[in-house]
Amino acid sequence: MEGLREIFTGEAQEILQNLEPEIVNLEETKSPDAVNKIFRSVHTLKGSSGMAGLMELSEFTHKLENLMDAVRGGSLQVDGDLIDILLNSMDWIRMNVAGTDKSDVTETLKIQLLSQIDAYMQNGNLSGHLQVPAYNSLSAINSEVIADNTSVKSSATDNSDETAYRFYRIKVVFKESVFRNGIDPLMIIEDLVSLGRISRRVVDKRKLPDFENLDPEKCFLNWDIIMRSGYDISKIEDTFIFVRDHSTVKINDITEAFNAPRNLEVQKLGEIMLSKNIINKQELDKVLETQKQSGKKIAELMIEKGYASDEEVKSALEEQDKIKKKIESSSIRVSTGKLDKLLNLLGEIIIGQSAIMRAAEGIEGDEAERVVSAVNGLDRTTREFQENLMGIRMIPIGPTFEQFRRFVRDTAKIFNKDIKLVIEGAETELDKTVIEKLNDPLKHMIRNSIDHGIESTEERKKSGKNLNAEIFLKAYHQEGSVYVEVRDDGRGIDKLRVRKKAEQLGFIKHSDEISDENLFSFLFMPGFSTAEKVGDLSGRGVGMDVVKTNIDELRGTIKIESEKGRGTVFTIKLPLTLAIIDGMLIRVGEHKYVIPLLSIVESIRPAKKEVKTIKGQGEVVYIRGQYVSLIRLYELFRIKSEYTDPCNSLVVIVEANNGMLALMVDELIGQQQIVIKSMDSELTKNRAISGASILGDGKIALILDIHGLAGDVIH
Amino acid sequence: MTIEVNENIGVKTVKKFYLELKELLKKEAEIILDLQNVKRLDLSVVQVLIAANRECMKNNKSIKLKSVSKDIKRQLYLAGFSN
Repeated sequence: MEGLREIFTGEAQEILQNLEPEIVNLEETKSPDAVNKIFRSVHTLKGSSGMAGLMELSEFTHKLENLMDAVRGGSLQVDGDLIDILLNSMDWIRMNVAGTDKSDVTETLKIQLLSQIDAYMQNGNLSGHLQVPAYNSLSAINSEVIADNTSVKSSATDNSDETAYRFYRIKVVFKESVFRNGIDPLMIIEDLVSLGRISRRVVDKRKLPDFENLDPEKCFLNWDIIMRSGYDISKIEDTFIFVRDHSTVKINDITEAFNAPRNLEVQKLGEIMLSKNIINKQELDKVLETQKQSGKKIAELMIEKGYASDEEVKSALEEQDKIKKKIESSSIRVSTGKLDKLLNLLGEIIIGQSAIMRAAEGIEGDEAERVVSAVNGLDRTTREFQENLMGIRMIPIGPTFEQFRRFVRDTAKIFNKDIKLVIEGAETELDKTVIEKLNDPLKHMIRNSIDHGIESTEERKKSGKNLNAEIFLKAYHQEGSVYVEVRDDGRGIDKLRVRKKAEQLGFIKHSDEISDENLFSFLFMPGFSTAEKVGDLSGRGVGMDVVKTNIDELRGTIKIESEKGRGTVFTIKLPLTLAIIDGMLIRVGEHKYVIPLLSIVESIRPAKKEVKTIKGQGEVVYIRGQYVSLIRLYELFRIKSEYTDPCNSLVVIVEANNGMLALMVDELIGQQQIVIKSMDSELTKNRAISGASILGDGKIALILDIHGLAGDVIH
Repeated sequence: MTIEVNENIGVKTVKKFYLELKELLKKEAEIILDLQNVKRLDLSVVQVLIAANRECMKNNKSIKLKSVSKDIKRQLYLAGFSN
């Protein structure tokens, strides 16, 4: 049963991911095709949840199926109310499937939805249907709707599948001054609990002064939360990314203390036998009790106690098998963890290969040639292996794009704006890890477009624009990289305002000339916001820097193009893979470093007259009409080098962010596949290093973070 | 007495809100805050409500919320009304 639920969870999440955009699409097109698709998906959810023993979900989807059947049959019309019911139902199903929340909130939502479905089935609309109680006393709020004091014990002993989840204890103490930084701790807590189900939450209000002496602009509340989540601890930690400097956060994984052993498969076999009237409830309870003490298999106990014959047990087991087989298909689900393991192993093979190649250098004559040729053959195979393995990890970006349809619909509604999301290049494939990490930055950029980019309907009317604004999400492959664009047809970025802000913050002087691209890159600086007012969604100046940080972590770049009155485009450029790259091994003194090959433009040995020092820009190299900042790597890493004069050494020109850099190196050793090993974040804090790689001789080579270096030099 | 809470209530206006509420609590035995225009509350406002509610309970007065959306109820819960 545990396995069945796991399969169902995966299947349901896929269905939900596809279903949500389909529902938003239905609102626009009202097409019978969309109605049929939604009906079929709900029908599948109903059947599969029933087979997985999730009866509450099965009953709920049954109601939803009836509703869609009535729409399909033409007795009900598609309107905004129906779309809201369907979308809210998706939320409830998602919470139920993920087991994220079994509080009174979900229960209330379920009751409300069921009553709305009934009302809609009867009247064809929701007019007069009371959706939320209209009046509440403060003290009644707890008991009426939202109290979720599910005790730790009860959450650990309910019948849901706990093994797929982790339990975390999160203690958050916010600084009193946190509001002054435009941060709302409650929003952070809301984000946190959206990642799971609260098992216990204690809000420490001891510091909250009496009403008389309250300073309302200071924060006095702190939280101690125990929650269950399907996400790993890093995702939980990410919630606090905006408040690192304004809070003390302790997150502990306390799963072991919470996972009570249980055997869901046994229960299912018992359920089958119950439904077939082979045993009665009392007998099943006795067997389960004995089973707890003896640890014997339930089938054995049924026979031992004389409750069922061999044949009856056999037939129940066969039925259980049938259910399993129904769910299994020709494809198999493999956890990404297993793929990561394979990729790591491949990395080790590549390192081993380099070691053999190095060993071959010590051999002379024909023998060496034979070894080199064999290793080259092996290299071709490992490259092919890597491409295939990466191919398995590649998934189309479409579903990620599609999930923003609802986000755009809901957010646009809040702002009374009419915005349509247009998706292009949904079939473009990216590494699963990249897609996962792309989600948050995309969301933030879309939020920005809706909040600040797209004008109000009146403003659009005045400027003669189409009243229906559009946000485009586009993905495509080009020159070995993946490009993702977020484009809007809004008012565009006000260059003058950005410039003014940059001057105020001292990034540039009034007299400085600066390209649009470089000017817009200031928007990614922490705390840089030109928004006139801080909105609920954006404008706090914390966000675009996080977008940039996330893209940097993916070794990608982001640039902004904008035209006043016509809109803004954010273009993200990403590498195809994260784990293995083609790199150029270089030497500085006795140390070896790796420069990602994609960043390299050329390598030169500059003439004396081409190396100059410019006031305010430092040392530069003149390359084809352009001055490029020179970085002496030996100075940067405080190591000894063979050369100190760039005219004797080599200079590697690399392309990064919105400019170029010249890196001074002693020697270019050669191009090779580099397996990236992550490093402690303390070590990569200086932004010059993005990771490390183990070379064939077992030594470590640091991988240069070209964008980090460029960021430091340019800004 | 019923007060219609401004839709833009938040940290920037919380001080004004707090002072108004403080004055009202001196005079009125029951205050109803109508939240029909409010989409969300931030923590600064919720803190004021918690402290005001405590004050009312001490003085045998009451403060009630009207037209509370589902989201705001959830926020109030997360901010600790039930403990």
